[in-house]
Amino acid sequence: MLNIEGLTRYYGKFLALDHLDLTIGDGELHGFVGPNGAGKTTTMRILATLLAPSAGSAQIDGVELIGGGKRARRLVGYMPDFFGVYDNLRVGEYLDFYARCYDIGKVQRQRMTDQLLELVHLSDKRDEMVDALSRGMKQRLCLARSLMHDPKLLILDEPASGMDPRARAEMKGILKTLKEMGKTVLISSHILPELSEMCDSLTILDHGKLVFSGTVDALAEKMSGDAPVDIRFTPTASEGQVENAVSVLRELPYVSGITQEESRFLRVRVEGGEKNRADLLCELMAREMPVLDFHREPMNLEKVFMEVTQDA
Amino acid sequence: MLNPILASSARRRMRAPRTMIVWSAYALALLLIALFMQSRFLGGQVYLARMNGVITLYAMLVGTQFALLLLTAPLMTAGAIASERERRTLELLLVTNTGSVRIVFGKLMECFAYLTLLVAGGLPTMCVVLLFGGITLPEILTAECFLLMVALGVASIGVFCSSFAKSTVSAAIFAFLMMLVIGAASALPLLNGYTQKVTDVLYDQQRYVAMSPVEALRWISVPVCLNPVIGLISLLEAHTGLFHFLTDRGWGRILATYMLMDKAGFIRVALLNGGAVAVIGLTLTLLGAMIIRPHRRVRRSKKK
Repeated sequence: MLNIEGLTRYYGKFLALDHLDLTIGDGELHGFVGPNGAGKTTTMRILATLLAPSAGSAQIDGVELIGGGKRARRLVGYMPDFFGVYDNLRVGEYLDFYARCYDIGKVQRQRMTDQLLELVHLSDKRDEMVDALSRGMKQRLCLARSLMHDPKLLILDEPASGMDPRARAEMKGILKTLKEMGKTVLISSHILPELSEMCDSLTILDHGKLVFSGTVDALAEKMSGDAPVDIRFTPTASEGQVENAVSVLRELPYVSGITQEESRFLRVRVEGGEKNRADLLCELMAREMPVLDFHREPMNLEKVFMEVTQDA
Repeated sequence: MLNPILASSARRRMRAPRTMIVWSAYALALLLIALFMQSRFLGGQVYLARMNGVITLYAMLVGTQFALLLLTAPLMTAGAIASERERRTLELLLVTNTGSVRIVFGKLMECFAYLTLLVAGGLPTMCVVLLFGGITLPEILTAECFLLMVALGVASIGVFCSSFAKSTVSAAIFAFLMMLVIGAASALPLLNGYTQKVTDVLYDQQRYVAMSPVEALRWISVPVCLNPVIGLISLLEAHTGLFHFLTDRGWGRILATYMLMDKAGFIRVALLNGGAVAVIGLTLTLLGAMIIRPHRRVRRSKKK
């Protein structure tokens, strides 16, 4: 389990990360969302032991990551948002080199290289030069590199950036496999619908502050609680019937706002919750209003993200 | 287990075509000098003139190698860390179990191994002088040893500058500037006279004769031992007499240094010089390792 407490980071006087508290369970695929400069990469670099925080702590299964040295680095695999290549090095040698950097023995190195190349579908590229690979292949190779020492936590900073749809789909498949393998994955991305499909839980950051942390469903529920009710009347409904409906709705104490979008389409803000929405519908039915459609617009992650970060 | 940085960097270097081109150019440059000197000075029949020619050839070969190493070593090592930073692979190394000391020394040792290959490539040409006599094999090997120590020191300066510079080019510029500053600063004691106590001893014939080499070494200004050019002059002094020439041509202030070096033994001073340069370089490399260490403490800023 990854446990982050009061993580803070200043760059000079600029506060990049403001007392971040976060808990991510074992085997969870956790999405990290936020606009540019929200503090995502700073958090990830701190967790990857590349950056020291100004304050706070982070532990994986009780092992302190901040200043934890080799013990901490063994538990974390890090894939940055940019893949740097070495020239004159083959794919197999590339992985072998990083395995040596983790002090992995020869036999295990060879076994891991084989397994990981298979996992990222690059077994047939073993003897190719790294700098001759396509961008998508390089990204997958970089993912294999970050898994070389079998870490508990995998930190992926924008792993699908700049990839074509096919490469993105392949990366998504690999992430699902990693989840099945029981790895805890922390992933940041700007492609929000993809994150909502893949992730178990999400954290939204804005200006270094935690805006939301929880499951995707909880976030959608939280946001859609305030969403207005859309009421569409039948095409045969007269203007008088619609005006009558508006005056009936205005009398209801839990209706806080009515907007007439079109001649037979109203958008109504309802306070309270499900019960009041049900009452409102009953009221309209009791007065035999010609209602064709009564629903709330479902919130997708993109909309949620825009709303949440707008308020912060 | 062999340092993985050293093994991987060496493999990549030896695969690059540039490596063989540089090595061949280095060996060829020395060979051309030897051929030119042979046709210019060693063709005559007069024995003494031939002897001078051999010594000039030897001094030219050592001096050329010295200059080439001073030029190539910082250029080669300037990219050691800076190029990793440029292609953003340094972070990938720093998150592994390989510590910053191992990374920096792996890079240095790989560059030094290549520099050793360059010097070894010049050895056959150096041995040409053995055919004419006047220079012995131990002298050639001592010169090669001195060159390697200087190369290690200068390469370390390149690695140190590479550890804080953002690009390879700026690291190379910093390295050359640093060498210039160290060279100029360490030559300054030559322009200053020694204390009355030292000069009294030096000009007292009896005490000078009784002075041991160790005592003479102790009195030589420390910065002099950090200047590789002085080391080179000292190395070749027995054959070229350049120091002696300078003292005779009005550079009287270096006479005391000359006398102390003469007493200590010029070759010994040269090796001490090379060793000191190498040690300073290795210390700088260690400093470079501390600079790239990722988890340095961050001073906490106060909220306004």
